[in-house]
Amino acid sequence: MIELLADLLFTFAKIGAFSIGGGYAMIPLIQDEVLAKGWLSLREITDLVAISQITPGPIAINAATFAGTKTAGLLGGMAATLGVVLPSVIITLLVSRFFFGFQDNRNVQSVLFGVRPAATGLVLSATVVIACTAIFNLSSGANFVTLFQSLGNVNLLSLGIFVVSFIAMYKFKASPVLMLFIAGFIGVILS
Amino acid sequence: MDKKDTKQKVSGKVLLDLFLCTFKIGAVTFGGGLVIIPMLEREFTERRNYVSKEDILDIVAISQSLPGVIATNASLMVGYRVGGVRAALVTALGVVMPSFIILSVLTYVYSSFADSAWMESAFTAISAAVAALMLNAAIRLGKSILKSPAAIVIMALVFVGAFHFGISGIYLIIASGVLGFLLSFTPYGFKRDATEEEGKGND
Repeated sequence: MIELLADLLFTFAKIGAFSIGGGYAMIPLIQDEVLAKGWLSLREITDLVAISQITPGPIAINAATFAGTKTAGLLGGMAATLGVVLPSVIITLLVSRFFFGFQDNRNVQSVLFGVRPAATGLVLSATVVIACTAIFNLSSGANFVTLFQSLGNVNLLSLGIFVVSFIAMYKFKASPVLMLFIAGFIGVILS
Repeated sequence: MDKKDTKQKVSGKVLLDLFLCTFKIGAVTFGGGLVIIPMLEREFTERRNYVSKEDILDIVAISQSLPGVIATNASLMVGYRVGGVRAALVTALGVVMPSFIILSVLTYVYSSFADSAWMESAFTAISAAVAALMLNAAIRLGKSILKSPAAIVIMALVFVGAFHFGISGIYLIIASGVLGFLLSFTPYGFKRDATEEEGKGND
């Protein structure tokens, strides 16, 4: 049992340490590892991806908890989850310590002059990707061309939710948590 | 170099607040990655003023460029900014706990849950609201830094690179950082000489 827990911890620590970019970039890595160890079947991995989409939280954490709990119960889930976040914790704390110490340095500031607009652009890109999936049913390979081609597939309910919740949050400072719940509720009622 | 922000001792009350806040964020963040950013920005910048908008953008850039789970990296950095290592560990625990609890329960009952059509429609509707939430955050974050033509051009190029050409965020961040550094030697970038007097007064 201890060996299995250690194996879960180390395997998921490896997954955590070697995936940059997070989210769906991690899936192939998770798939290879848990299949090779025989912890999950291909069918279970497919289910896991579906579950991750409809439950809150990052897919890597969901995958670790799912695979760990299935293999070795609650302790297994804890070992795998701890494993997948451990590299993040160590690396991020080291980088934070360094970064926040030098953030006001002139050279760092000049680099950040380029990095901050880039970060805004990345948030905007992630926004449009999510909007493409939710509103135009364009789940993979979204770009300007495919977006233009899918304009006819508009999901009016999603578009309405998008516009109304944007206005509610931007103009009237509505609570995002409340908006998410209302959206989910409306989605279920009107489907 | 100043140490005022990262060395401060935070009270148990602040730690509890950080935990409850990140627990709430973890429980309502559907999808991974940058989806957590609007929530962090709202709770820690807009409502509590713990971290600045510039910090949030730096955290977006760095948390994406490090290995591991982006949402966890970002929460750790926010926690570290507020109250050092202890606070960072508390925020990481808070943001991971909801996923852990939900998934450890669902592992036993998932088959009836994953296939249901109503969950699918709820998810699509929630995604539409998530997109609105992210757009709102992008606008608020953008307002504070898109004050020069160079910044607007970089934002636009990165958007096209990431969305249309699917270039990985880390390359775009590195390229923009190099560009930012080079621009500081021209009139279009960061004003190197102005920092001497401004540097003392900034937050």
